[in-house]
Amino acid sequence: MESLVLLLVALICAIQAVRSAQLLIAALWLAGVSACIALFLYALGAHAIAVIELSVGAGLVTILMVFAITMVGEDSEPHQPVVPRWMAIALPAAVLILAAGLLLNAGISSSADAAPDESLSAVLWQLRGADVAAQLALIFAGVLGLLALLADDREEPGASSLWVEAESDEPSAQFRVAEKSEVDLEEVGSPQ
Amino acid sequence: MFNWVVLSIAFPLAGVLLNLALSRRLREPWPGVLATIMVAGAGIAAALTAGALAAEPEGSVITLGSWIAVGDLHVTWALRVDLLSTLMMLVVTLVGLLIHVYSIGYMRGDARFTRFFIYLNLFVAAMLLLVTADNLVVMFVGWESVGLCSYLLIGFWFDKTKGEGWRNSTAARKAFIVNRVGDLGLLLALFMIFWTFKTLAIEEVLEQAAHTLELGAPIATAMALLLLLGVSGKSAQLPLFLWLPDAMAGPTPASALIHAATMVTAGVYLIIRMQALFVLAPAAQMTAAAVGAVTALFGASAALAQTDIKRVLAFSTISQLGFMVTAAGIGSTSAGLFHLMTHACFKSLLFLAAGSVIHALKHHGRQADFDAQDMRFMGGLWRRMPWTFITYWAGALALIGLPPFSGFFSKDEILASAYEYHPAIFILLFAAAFLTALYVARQGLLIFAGRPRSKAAVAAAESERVMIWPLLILALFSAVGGALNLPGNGLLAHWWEESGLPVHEAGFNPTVAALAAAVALAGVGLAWALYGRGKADVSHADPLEKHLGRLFPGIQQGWGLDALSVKAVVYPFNRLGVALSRFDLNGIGGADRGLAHVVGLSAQRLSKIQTGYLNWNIAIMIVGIATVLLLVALWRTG
Amino acid sequence: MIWGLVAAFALLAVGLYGLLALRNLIKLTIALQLMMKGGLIAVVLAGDAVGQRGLGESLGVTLIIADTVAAVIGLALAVLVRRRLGSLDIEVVSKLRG
Repeated sequence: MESLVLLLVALICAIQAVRSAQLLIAALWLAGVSACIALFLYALGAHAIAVIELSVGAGLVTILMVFAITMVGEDSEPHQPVVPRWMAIALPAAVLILAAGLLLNAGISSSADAAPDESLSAVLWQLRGADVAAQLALIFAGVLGLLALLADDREEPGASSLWVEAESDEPSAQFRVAEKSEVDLEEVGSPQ
Repeated sequence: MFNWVVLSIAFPLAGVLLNLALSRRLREPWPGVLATIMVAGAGIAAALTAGALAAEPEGSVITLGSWIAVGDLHVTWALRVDLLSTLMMLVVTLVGLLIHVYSIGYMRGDARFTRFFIYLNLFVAAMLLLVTADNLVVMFVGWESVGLCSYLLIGFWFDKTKGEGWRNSTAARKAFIVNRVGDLGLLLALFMIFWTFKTLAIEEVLEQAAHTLELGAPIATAMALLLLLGVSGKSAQLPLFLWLPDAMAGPTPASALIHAATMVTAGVYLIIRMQALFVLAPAAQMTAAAVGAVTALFGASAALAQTDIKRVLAFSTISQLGFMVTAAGIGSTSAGLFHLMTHACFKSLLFLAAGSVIHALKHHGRQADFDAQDMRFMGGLWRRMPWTFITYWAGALALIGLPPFSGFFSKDEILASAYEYHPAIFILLFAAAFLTALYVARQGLLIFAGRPRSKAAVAAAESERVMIWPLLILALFSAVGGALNLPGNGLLAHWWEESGLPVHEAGFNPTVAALAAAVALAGVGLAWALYGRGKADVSHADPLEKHLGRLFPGIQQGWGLDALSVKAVVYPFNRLGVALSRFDLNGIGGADRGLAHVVGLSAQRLSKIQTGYLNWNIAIMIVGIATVLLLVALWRTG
Repeated sequence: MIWGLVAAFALLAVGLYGLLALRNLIKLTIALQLMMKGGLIAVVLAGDAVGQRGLGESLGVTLIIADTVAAVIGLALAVLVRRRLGSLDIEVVSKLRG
């Protein structure tokens, strides 16, 4: 029962996170979602992962969010969404209905007592050693990406980015070649 | 020591490579000298081979290595030394050597001097390979190589101005394409031979044919007829002679060497070489004789009305080749080869003399509407070019067939054989012999007799020595070449018997010989009556035209066969080509363009979706997810 | 149990809605996070459903790490875009071509 309540609260928090205009508030609602999910997982019996989710998802990510938001500053959301609103609601709704319908149709139920349970650490270290390696690689890649993104800017503040350069440039040579070849094709194609 | 034969081919090949390598270093006339030395080397090697053959008359086969070995097919680089190949080698190298010397003078100042000699050397090498090959495939290599050289040399002056270059290259292409028809026949014959005998080595083929096939076997007839098709392409017989008159577009020494003395006789050589097959196929023999005889008469009549000095000789060559094909076809091979050899001497001599005249006129002619090859602009040259005059007439008398010149003996052997074989063939050849005397005398008189009919002819002077000496030597051979096979104790016939080649000799027939000589004299007399006083002028009609009337333009156009071939073959073929190209352009090309258009258009339309907005990308992605889920749901339920 | 999975899909849907409707890069990152949370619940519950909770949880750990790395990269990107282009609106970013 309390699990259901927790899930409901998580959902409400999620909707609020999406709806809220202010970034900081949205970040806090996200932290709420994380916390609710962590509690739900704890209630389910998955203690280890609940703790990790609480510390990393609700803790670390939120701190990063707040940090980033203070760096960037609040930005008023433009009102016109790119995708029509009805589509933005209808598409996820369709996915939700289809997936949930399939699920209910399949009728999955808990079978916790079907097999001897193994602890997370046992599975993680013995069965899924490769996962650990992949996770390490992932973290490493994340750190590298972060460094690359942020360091680049600090070292060369004067040299404007490639993007701006590309924008200010004339249509690139490649483009011109493409146009020319189009003309050639037409010439060749036309019967003499 | 038959290995000399390898050296004989290697020499001109080395000449090609050396001239290619040194083309930037050597200045005129040294490339020509180098090429000449190489051909001289080949000639010496051929002579040494002949010396070795005198000791061992049956000859031998020299195997250099394997070329193709697939299943039953074994093609080896093997060279055959016997009387036939050695005599051919001697003719090719001797005439080739003299023409090389002559070319040094004739091609003086030409922009592509070196290239000309490279082609000539390549031709000599290819021709030697053709006549010595012991395997039909190797022979085919030589056969095609000489065709290539012919093509290259006909179109040698492809860059002349005023459309002349275009005419030259067209003539070259014509020669190449017409020869393809004949080569198709030869190739099919080779396939059939391999299919039947499982070998392509000439010796084995002939042996097996003699032992396994009956007289008149259909397969033998088919092979011989297909070979004959190849012969009629290479040796310019009816109906494939069309290319040879146009082939005169090439430099005159090349015409002399390739289109008179050697390459065009390759067909005759082939018939002689494959004689054992022809002997088994009387129908094919009859066809060969008929084709040869009709061609002989046709060529002689067409030569009668030509005004171009070289075209006369071209039709004359066609006619003389007809004699040889007839002789080889009816089995009197030694007579055919004898005539081949004498003809190589006197016809190349005639060509070279004509070249000397053209050369002289070209260098002195500045007249408008002047054609250095048109005999109507000549006349009275005997006083200005005495050596050319004398040597020309030596060759002309040999061609006419007056004793004691070489042509008399060789032609009369053929006539005697034809007389024994079939009266119709004999009559055709006899008529051709009469016309031969008439057209040769006409040409000789038009060029040399009377008074000059153009400023160039007035100004003409004798050619330089390097061109005159080969003329003299060839004139000598033309005059006394008959000694090779005098009636009674024929040296050639004797060798022939010794070497074990198939013999079918008619011998010397005094009646036929006397008749032929009389007819030749009559032809010369008629020519003198018509042209003796130098009446032929550009402004006057040809004297012959008055007597022949409307027939004259007809024979001038080669009985209209050329035009007929254009109408019957070339024009429909072009129409087909145009139709197919239209289909290609509009049908296939249209489909291609349509496809490209559809792709381009759809890409243009689709690119509008690619807005670059993240939200839209995700929206499309979600549509995809929803579709997959929907499909899963449908699959589950349905 | 089944409601847990439905809730996971609901979170996924909310995240999707966010991705479709929002234009701020940081908010897009938040929407992405929501979807990942849905995935996390689903993975753990799936492990529970087949009786291999340890396996589900280990996958969950992987998911949390991937999730965090994605958040970090997304935020870093947002900071960078803001610094260079002066806006967090993806329309500004979308207009870049070349």
